[in-house]
Amino acid sequence: MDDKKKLETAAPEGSAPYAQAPDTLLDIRDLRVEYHTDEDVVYAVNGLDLTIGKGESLGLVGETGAGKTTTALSVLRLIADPPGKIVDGEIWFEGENMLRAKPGRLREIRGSKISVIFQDPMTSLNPVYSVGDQIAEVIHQHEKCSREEGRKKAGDMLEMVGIPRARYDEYPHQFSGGMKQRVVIAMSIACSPELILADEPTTALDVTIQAQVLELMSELKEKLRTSLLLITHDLGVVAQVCDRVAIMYAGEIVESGTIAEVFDHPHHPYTIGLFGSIPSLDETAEKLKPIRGQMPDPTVLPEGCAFAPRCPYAVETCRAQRVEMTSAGGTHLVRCLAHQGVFQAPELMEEVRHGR
Amino acid sequence: MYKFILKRLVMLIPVLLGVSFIVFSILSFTPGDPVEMRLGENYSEEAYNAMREEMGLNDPFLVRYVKYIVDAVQGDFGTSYRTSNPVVEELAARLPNTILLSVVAMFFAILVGIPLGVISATHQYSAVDNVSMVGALFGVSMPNFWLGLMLIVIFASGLGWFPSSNFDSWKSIVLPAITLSVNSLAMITRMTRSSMLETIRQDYIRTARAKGLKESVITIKHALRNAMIPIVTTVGLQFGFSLGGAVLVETVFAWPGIGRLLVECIKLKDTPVVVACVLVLATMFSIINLCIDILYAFLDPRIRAQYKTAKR
Repeated sequence: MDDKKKLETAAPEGSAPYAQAPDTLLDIRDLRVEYHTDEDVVYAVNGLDLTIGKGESLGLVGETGAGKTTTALSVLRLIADPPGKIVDGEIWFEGENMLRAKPGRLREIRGSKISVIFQDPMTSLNPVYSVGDQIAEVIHQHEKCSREEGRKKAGDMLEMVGIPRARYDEYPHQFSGGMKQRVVIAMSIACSPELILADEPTTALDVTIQAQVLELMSELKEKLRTSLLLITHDLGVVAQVCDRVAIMYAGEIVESGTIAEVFDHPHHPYTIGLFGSIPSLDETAEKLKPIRGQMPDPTVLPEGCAFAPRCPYAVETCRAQRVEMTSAGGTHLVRCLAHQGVFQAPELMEEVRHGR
Repeated sequence: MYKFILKRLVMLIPVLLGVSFIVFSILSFTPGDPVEMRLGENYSEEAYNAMREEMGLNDPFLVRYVKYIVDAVQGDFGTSYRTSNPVVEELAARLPNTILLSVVAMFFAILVGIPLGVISATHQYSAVDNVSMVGALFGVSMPNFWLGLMLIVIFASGLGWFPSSNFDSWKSIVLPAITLSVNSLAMITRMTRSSMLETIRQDYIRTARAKGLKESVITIKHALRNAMIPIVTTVGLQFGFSLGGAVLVETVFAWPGIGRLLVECIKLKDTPVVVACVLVLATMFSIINLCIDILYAFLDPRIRAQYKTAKR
């Protein structure tokens, strides 16, 4: 009850009370999501801020358990409740706070204005309906059209993702993983959405198919001018597809900026660690360079900077106070006390200056 | 598909041969003399021998069995030792009653059980769920005959709403059908609930939700259809059991069905009737199972594909 009140006082009716850039499509503010189990509360997303502009594609990068999927599912309120609960925050989409949208309105937006591509194509299609019918279903849900029109349009979508129309009446089990993901993509673009949430769309596929699917997604993104939130833990994928990138750690964004800004000069020690863990083609490396340690237990998060326990540059202050995002020039934001000048970390600065 | 059905029907033949052989030998080798049963208390030795010869009981066991089978294949299931009527007539008088009772009971169990299970799953741990699960536990554990007696005490003797026996109007089927259905109802409800609970956690349900579909459409079109296989299996098994297992209910309500006939005839060593009854029940059980398998194919394209490849 308390949580609901909080939401209401924080978000009056109408459009966003914040100054938004005119071309902002999705604006997530201070999102907090928890999963309540019998024993514990898992703090999955902790005060996350994120914006996506019209036609922009943003890569959301982080390791497993960082809260990436939870963030994406929150946008359409698809988190299973129980156990999940969006306890605070606002998600503005075209002047509407999604967290306060009525169920009927939410259904209108789902699949038509915002669609989702899920991680595992093997399980995200219903095994008992033909792929064509599953695409037609979303069209019929959001557009008034006859059976024939729906069938024709669904067939068009199949062709757009490179599947012959003749396979309309086949079932998911007759498709390979990559083809299934194409079907899921066809389903997600069927109603020409403003925004596609792609949750690790290539993780479950093998490498050659990954490349094909990514290429298809980039192509469609250009053609349809759709915004994209691409969740992945693969920095290479982000560089290939995205305009901007946000690095997520333990439920919050630790660094964000354009691809050039973040990839050329990563600022946050975690981001630097991520890049450092990618083996280089030019050098001979005996061993990979992982980031030491584990992500903090999401049921007991550290007081201060969540990365401090693993950070080679951390000082006492890091463990004591919460860190805010600060600008690192341009649109580049970073959540690190060293970059705020709270303490001196010459080695870190050397890493940053050196870039990649 | 047709080939699959044909194959299954052909497979019925060895099943029926086996069943008839087992029943036939049990009745032949267990103590009790059908001739004695037929002649009653006082008879002369001559009469006994004449009767024994007439009934063909002096032939060796295998000869009798083969004779029976040869006749049965031609549609002659012999005459009842008990009434001297053709067995076919005896069965024809009783079988429709049993089928009627089972069908009504199963309809009731399905129409109530599946919706109840679906609601229990979609509203897990709600009041409806808790009540129906406790009810289902009672339903599974309550003996049929006791429930039948209680229903008679309350609704027949007490309130006088329904007759407790006799088979005259639609009213007389209400109490026996409810009694017979309670067990199946409980099983179907529980199976529907657990199967639905599993399906509604699947990824494709989340996909359906992300499409903007209504919850009712998601539950029925996407979840229930996928949850149907174990439910259909349960329905089929319960239907089969209710055909053969209606003995107690038929006895309590004096329902003139095949179950009661079977028990009477076993007691009196009326071999031809017993074997015929068992054959009929086995055939129906097999056909129900075949229907279930066909229904699987209808429900799930993956199973349909298997049938098709098996054909080649």
